[in-house]
Amino acid sequence: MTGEGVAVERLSVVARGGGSETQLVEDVSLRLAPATIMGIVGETGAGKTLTMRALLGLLPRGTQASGALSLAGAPPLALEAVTAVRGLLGRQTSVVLQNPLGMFDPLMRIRDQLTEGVVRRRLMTSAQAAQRASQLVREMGFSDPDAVQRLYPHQLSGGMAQRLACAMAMMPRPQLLVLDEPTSALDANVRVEVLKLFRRLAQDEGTAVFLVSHDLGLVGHFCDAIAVMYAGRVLEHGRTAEVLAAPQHPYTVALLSSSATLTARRREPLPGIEGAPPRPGTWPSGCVFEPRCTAAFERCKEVRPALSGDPEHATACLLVEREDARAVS
Amino acid sequence: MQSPEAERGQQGTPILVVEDLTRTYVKRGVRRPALDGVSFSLERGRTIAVVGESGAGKSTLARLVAGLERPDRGAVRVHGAPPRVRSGAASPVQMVFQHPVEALNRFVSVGSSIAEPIHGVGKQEKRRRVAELLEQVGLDPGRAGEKPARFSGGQLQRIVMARALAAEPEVLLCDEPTSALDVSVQAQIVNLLLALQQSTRFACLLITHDLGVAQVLADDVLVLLHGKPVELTPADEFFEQPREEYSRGLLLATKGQALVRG
Repeated sequence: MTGEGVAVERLSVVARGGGSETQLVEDVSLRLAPATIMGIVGETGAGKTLTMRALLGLLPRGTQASGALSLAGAPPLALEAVTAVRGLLGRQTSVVLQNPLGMFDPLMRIRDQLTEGVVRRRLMTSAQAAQRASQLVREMGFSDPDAVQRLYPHQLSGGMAQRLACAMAMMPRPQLLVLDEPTSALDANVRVEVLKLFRRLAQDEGTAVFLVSHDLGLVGHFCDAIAVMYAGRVLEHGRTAEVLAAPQHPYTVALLSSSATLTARRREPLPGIEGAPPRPGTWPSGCVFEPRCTAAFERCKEVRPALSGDPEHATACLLVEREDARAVS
Repeated sequence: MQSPEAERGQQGTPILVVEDLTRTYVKRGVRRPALDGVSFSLERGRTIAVVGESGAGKSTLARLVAGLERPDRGAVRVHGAPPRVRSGAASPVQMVFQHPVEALNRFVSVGSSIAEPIHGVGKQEKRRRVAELLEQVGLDPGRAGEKPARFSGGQLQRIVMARALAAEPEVLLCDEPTSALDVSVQAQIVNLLLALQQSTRFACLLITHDLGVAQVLADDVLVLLHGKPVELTPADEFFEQPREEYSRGLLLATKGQALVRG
């Protein structure tokens, strides 16, 4: 897969302040082929959004990224070089946020907003941009693109706004699209429709997509691959079918079994995970999940396991390493 | 298996009765019924889940049942009387909201917030009750003096639940109680609701867009569409085979994004 798609190498994020450093994201490496969607799941504070912001050059003040991003086989770009990384945004990289209205200027018609960025960056002529905008709006499920493009943001429903935000993000034909909780503000039935459109568009255009979500059900259904983050690290990643059918990390197992789904038992407690994720700065020195893990043993307190496995399915857990060793011997 | 009617007979008289509840809002001269002819009754220790898309009238129903708004037609009765919001007395209908941060005064210790609905007892007794309630919702009673900012979202939701329980409510109205929480915390709150209902036997009106949560918590499911009741069905039956086409669509949308697990 070298030379194709997106590669993230050893991405870390630290917060600096008051003379001390706090690790927020640690050593995240991910690979993503063109036209595929990877779901980044995890709970609050796991570092999902910070990881994505580091890739877009949009980290908040006081934080610093390291690591590298490679797009379509171009030489890796150091993430410390924020200006260069930021320069990719709106060209090779693009983003759709949870609140789509935040992406629009309330005083501009949709048509002008869709075309403005790519024309200003000289990626297209006005005529080319107008044509592409109409095409994307149609692909986002609007039968009358001209009428929609004449609207102002306040005239849009949530579902409409989110589809148009995606059209806007896709205008420059990005190689990497980040969708950060793109549909959590939408109704369940609208959500499915919107995500279907997003997925088809990404496939047609060959875009690699990171979908950040805390909704496992959604990720399970829409993503080709999945990465489970916890306390700033990726604990398990791989093809969605593999990871969901045979989760290896105790955290993934617990997360899956604790979700309230239609197969849960009526009026019976869910098998939950005790406690809460550790806050940044209070991460255990061994495995980050060890304090809440029911399968942990002595060495888990001391060793922070690296991801082991292959691109299809890899896990950072001593239990899995131990089983592998047994299988070999 | 007993029929739901037979089961209800054993449960005795309903605590909460909602009759033909209707509320119409007028916006820019256009009358839009937010809730239109909704009726149901709810017995002690049981849960009705109210499901539907945004704009279905779920929140309007919640406000009317809580007594925060008056209906245009119909009535809400708790033990035969309409619930009222009065100062100096705790309402028999207590609420748990989606965003616990907004439900708590951030300048006041969580212990004081929890003690708010407790009236007519001395300081010592109040303190003892607060400690007991904190323990009941799984929090350290020693933290009663801390402000909300020191707690996580899941812990704050527990505090809101403790405050609701302090009023010894007949009806607990939960409006999307887990929607803003992480998966593992969601499970903890769902489990806490189950346990608390078992021990204190409140009737629970659960407003949710999440059919997974309804699957775990509900005895009956009420589906709303544009303010009108679509169906009111025992949960076992609803999740097996809903009566109405619209409900089938809702279930399919949820299954459509359900986990692909063997």
